[in-house]
This record gives sequence, structure tokens and C-alpha cells, in this order.
Amino acid sequence: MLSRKYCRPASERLKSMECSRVSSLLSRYIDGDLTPESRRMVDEHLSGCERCSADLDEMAGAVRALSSLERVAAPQGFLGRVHERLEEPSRARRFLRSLFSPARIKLPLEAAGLGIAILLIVFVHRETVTFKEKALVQNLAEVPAPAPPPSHKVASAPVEETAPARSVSEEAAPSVKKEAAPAPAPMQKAKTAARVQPGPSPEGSAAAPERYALAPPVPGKRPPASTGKPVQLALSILPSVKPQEEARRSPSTAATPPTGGSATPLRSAEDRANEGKTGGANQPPVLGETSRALRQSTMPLPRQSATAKTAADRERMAVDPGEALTRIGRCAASAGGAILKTEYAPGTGNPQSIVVEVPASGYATFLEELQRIGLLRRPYPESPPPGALPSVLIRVSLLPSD
Amino acid sequence: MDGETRGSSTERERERAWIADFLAGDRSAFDSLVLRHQDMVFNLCYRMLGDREDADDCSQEVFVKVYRSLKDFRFDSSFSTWLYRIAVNTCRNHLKSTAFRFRRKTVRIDPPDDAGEGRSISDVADPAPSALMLMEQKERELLVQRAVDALPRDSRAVIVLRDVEGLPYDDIARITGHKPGTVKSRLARARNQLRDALKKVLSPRI
Repeated sequence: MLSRKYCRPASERLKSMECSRVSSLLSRYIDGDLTPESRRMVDEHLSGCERCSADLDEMAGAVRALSSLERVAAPQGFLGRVHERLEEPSRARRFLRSLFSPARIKLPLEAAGLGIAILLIVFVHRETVTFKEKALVQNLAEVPAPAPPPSHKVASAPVEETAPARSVSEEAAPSVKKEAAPAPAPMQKAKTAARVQPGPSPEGSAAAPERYALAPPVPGKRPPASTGKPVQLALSILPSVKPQEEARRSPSTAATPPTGGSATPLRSAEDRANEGKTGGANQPPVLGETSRALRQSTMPLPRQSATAKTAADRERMAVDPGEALTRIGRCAASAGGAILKTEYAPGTGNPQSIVVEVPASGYATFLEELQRIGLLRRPYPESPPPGALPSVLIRVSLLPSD
Repeated sequence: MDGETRGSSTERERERAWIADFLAGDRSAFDSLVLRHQDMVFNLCYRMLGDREDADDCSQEVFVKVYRSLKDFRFDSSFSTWLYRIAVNTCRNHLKSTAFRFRRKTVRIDPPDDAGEGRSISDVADPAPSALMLMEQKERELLVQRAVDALPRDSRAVIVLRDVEGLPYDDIARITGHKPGTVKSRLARARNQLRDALKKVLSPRI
């Protein structure tokens, strides 16, 4: 009634509003879902509105088209495919399997990778150790090999020395491994045997190869590295003619042929070897016996021996360069230092110059000990040079005695 | 009216018996349920997806879900409504899937998959249609289906359930999970869109 009132005399605007409202009800109108009042209102509007009537027809046609669509039946064999699908694992399981199945493939690869990594680490580690050993050998090779003097002999067991550089280097690795476990211990073992380290080594004292069996520095007393020019000392030594009293303390005997004794029968190499084999059990004769033997052998004494008056002078008399090196090492050790470097004469292979590092406090001790080996040429600094604290570098040049 | 719109009470009783037998371990009871509802499910899937292959895949998935979740069915609603709900949700997920959307965008250049299939031609309603009429009918159905395919996903489910399956609003509300008022408004919007889409196509015949 009200709608008819609006519809019939309606202006265009009012009609448009009613068309909009009716349009929204057309779907339910088709389904018969409107209340009777709403349905009557729509009917009245449609009777006077061609556009809304056309809309209704088109919508009803679309609905009929949908409802008249062919019902598509399931394809043949549908049930069988459902059964097949039921036999398959669920998608979730398939998804989980796809997550883990690569893991099953990867796992052996990862294990293999792990194995390869372990092998690689072991290999690299071994190579590194070998490289370090080689570097050690290289360092040794750079130092001139101490060609043993022709008459040089090993007279006593505790002295582990006079091996050529090559043989030392070949045995370096085992000795390093042996000594590596008790780090500070090996130095303490050697009481009579002395060891020397050729220089500050990155591997530390335990890894340092043995060059000469010289007195080691006491581990706790090793002087710190010093810088600056070394103190130059010249030590005159007399090449020995025969075993000396020193041999009791340092069994390596000097065997340089006497300079002026053409009548002296040279000991054969065989004798020297026998002497070396007997070791400490066959100690060389003491000085007094030696003197007698010398007298009996009618060998003319060197000039220096004639001038020797004190025991120290007698000790000084006969020292060959090899023994001098040994004794200098012991001097350095007693002064709390160590030999850093040894240079050898190119021709003879004898030690020519020894660089020693001692604490400044042990400088005087070192000089005192040094003078027991040979004659220190004057002038030499009586006290460590100023600024040399806390340690002094000393280069001892061995001069043939004149 | 109960939610169940399809089948008589005897059919519903038979469904209950099948369900009970299946839950008791009789797998053939499940087969009976599949055979009973497979065409309905397939038709719904086909109208919602617009592709036979997709409909086949989706329908199988629906029954697999039914098989695995039938033990949870409590008869709160009819089995058909429950089945429709599973089918609609499966189709929605299928429509959302990236693969489906990609295929819809890229492969839609060929003629429709049901244009020349023997079965659909042999099953037309008219028992003795001429070839021309058959072709026209197929073409019109194709256009209608494409208009449905063009609808939004939510509207598509509502209009298919209402105008293709002929379900009442209440059942549609139960199946889709919407309120009845929402169902009506979405249906009105979908019909308006469909009318606009089919105006030129159907007007000569309507």
C-alpha cells in the first residue's frame, strides 16, 4: 500500500530507490523466501517497472541454467582409484617422508663427509708436525756442520755429541718426541753431560735438538734474550797434544796432531775407536801420568807447556777447539747462560766463534771460568757493558795460540 | 525441516547401517557409501572447480577423508550434509592451491575438457537431440560453467549448493559454516553477478 503510494506517483528518484530495494530481494523472490508482505510489494513494483521485471527474468534464467546443468557423474573406476589412494600413505605422511627421505640419503653422505674431515684433520696435523720437524732440520742445516776434527774422539759415555748435523737431524724427531713429555725434566737429567741449544727455538727448550752435549742452562735461570752487539772476547787456546786432566770432567779428548812433534807416533784411528768404545771405564791418564808418558815418549813439549806454571796454566795448555767449545758451554752454564750460536772455520771445521748469552750478574763468573780454558786477550771488558742488562751477549773467538 | 534434503528416511537408515558396519570393520560398507554418493560429490566438485581432472582428484580426496574421519562422525547432522561439508572444504582448499590457480591462468586456452567426452554427450537429458541442439546445449553449459568459475570462491560454493544441488539455505549454512542471512546475501550477490555474466548469452533463449 505504502509502496504503491511511492511507486505510482513516484518521481524518478523515489522509483530508483525502490528499484534498488526490489533488486536486492529478487534472489529471495525467486526462491519464495520473502514474507507475503514483501512479496506483494515486489509484485506491485514489478508490475509497473519493466527494468526490474527484465532483471528478474534474467536472474531466473541464470538460476534455471544452473539448475538445468547436466549432472556430471563420477568417472568409471572411481571407487577403485579411491581404494588405490587409500592404500597410499596420507599426504601428511608423504610430506613427512619427503622431509626425512632426503635425510636417509644424506646421512651416509654426512657420515662419509665426517670421516673425510677427520682424515683430513689427521693428515694436516701429521703434515704440520712433519713440517715443523723439517723446519727444525733446516735450522740445523743452516748452522755449519761441526765436522769433527780428525783426531776428535768420544771418550766417555755421558757426552752425547760430535754427531754430524745430518745424523742429528735424522734423529731429531724421536729425540724431540721423547723429551717433549716432561718439558723441563730433560735438562735436569744431564748432570755431567751438557747440552746446548742452538738458539731460541719456537718449539721451546723441549723441542730443541741436541747439537753438542754442553751444560744446559738451568731451566729457571735461563737468561732472557738480550739485544745489542755482543761483547767481543778473544780466547787463545792451544791445541792439545794428548789427553789432559780435563778429560776427567769432559771426556772428549782433543786429538789435534801436534804441531812440532814429527817424531810423535800418531795414534791410529783404530786406537781412537777402541778408546771411544771403552768409554768411561777406560779413563785417560791423569796429568801426572800424562807428563810421565810424555817424557817417556820423548815427544818435545810445546812451547806453551814449558811456560805453564800453575795448574790453571797447565789446564790451559792443551785445549783443542772442540773441547774449548764444550768447556765454554759449561762456563756459560755455570754463569747461568747458554751458547746461542757456534760458527765453524770453513777449512778445518773447527769451532771458531761462539756466541754466548749469560746474565749480566754471571758475566764475571763466565770470564773467570773462561780463563781456565785459555788466555783471554787483553783488553777485554772486566764488567758487563752498561745497558746490557739483564743479559750479555758475548762472542768468544777462539784463536790459535801463538 | 531436517538438514537432510536428499534421500528418504529409508535411505538415511541404510546409510546409518553402512556407517555402523564400516566402523565395525566392514570395508564393503564404505564402498557402498562411496557408490551411493560419488556422483553427487563429483558433480559438486566439478561445478566448483570447472575441470574434470581436478574434480576427480578432489572427489577421491573427499572420500579418503571420509574413510579416515568416519569414526568421528557423531550423527549430529545427516551424513550427506557432513559429506558436503568435507567436499566444499576440499574444493575450497583446491581452489586456493597455487597449482590450481596457476593452471587456471595458463592452461585455459584449450576447449573445455567435457566438450567432446563421450559419456557426457550420451547422458544428456534429451533422449533424441539433434546434433546441432546437442552442440548448442553443450556450448551453453560451458558458458554457464565459465560464468560460475568467474565467481568469487565463497559465492561459488553458495550458488552451486543452492542452484546446482538445490539445497535449502539452512543446509547451506551448515555446510559452509555461514549464518543463513550471510548465505542469502551471498547468494543474491552471486546471482546478480551470474545474471550479468550470462545476460547476453542466455537472453535469446530465455
